[in-house]
Amino acid sequence: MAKKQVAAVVKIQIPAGQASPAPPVGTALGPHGVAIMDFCKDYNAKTEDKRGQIVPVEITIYEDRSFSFTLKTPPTPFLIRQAAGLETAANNPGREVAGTITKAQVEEIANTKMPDLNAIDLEGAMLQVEGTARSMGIKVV
Amino acid sequence: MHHLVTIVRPGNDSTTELLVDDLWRAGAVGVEETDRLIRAAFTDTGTAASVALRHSGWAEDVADTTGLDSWRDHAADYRAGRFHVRPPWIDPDPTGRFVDLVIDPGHAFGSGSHPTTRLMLTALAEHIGPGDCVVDLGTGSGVLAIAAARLGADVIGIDLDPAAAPAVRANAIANGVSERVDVRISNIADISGDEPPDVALLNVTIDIHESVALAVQRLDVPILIVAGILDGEQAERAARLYGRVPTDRLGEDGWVVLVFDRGRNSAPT
Repeated sequence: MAKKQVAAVVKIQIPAGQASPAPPVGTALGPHGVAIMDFCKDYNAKTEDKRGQIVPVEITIYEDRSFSFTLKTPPTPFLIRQAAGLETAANNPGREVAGTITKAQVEEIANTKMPDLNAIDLEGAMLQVEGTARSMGIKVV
Repeated sequence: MHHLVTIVRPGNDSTTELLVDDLWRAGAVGVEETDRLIRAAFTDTGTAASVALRHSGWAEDVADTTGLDSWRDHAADYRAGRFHVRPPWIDPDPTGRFVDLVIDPGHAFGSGSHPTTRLMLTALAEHIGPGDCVVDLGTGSGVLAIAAARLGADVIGIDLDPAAAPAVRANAIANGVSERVDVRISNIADISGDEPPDVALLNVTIDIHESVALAVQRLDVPILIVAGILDGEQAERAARLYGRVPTDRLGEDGWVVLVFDRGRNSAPT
């Protein structure tokens, strides 16, 4: 098949299995002429086994309005809060989260995040995760 | 109604990451990232206002259906099995070799362009004939219900989404089968008591298959056709859920349709 011209790339974070045509999905994809219901069905089917996680998605829209998408790894702060046993849903927005995670958890998160980080090796990825944890107010013990 | 908060994206990525995390902790239902802006949707107006204030952004009210119609300008027709599926503004197939199916999806699910819908249409043409009693669970825009009716079946379309009813009725009229298609906004459990169907259709995601499988088993239909599932683990899970061995399977782009056909009740076994 000939390579199709890319018209736009849209990045959205949505809870796994819960895409709906309401905002922000509809508002982000609608202007590009994408069949939103088709996207939601695809996304929900492909993230069904990841429920409870936030699964970012990068949607490539082609000139004929067809689309393809790639699922990304959950955001680092989300994984850190999960590892620290903190509420992953709404809690104390606007404030620092206090808590601790272990070096082993840092390594696990770094491993998960590796495909999406611009780190050369696992050690580099771990440093990035530790940096994020620190700026969130979470100690690595 | 949703409330969309727009914030100018901070210059560096790690600050952006923490900002987005704050939006999730505040109760966002979804976040869109562009090169210059972050947009988060909230269901609560007070929360949206306080988030906008905290991050020097702005909040606006957005109808849930915003953007849903713009794809219509680009909708195309296609052929699946014996069907030619088209929106009303595209001409029917001139050769007359296809069963014409006019579908305007409105806001309900199912423009028919999805691989699972195409596969289902192909399967329907092989398994449904005149006089069959068919139930379509999760009918959406009614594309499958109407396709079955065009093959001569009497169909009950069921959906929990109230948007489905007007879409199915309008599409049934457009296809001249309004007398053969009955649409109900209800739960699957509510179809018991009717004449037992010969065929049940389910083109829904695996989590919905999970929640309705028991009720579907109780229907005890001779022919069960299921889709909306990915090949591999989901397909195996679906077969286990319905406790039957697939007699046929069709696949496209990683999606599958499973057919469980044990023959009609009236047929000799």
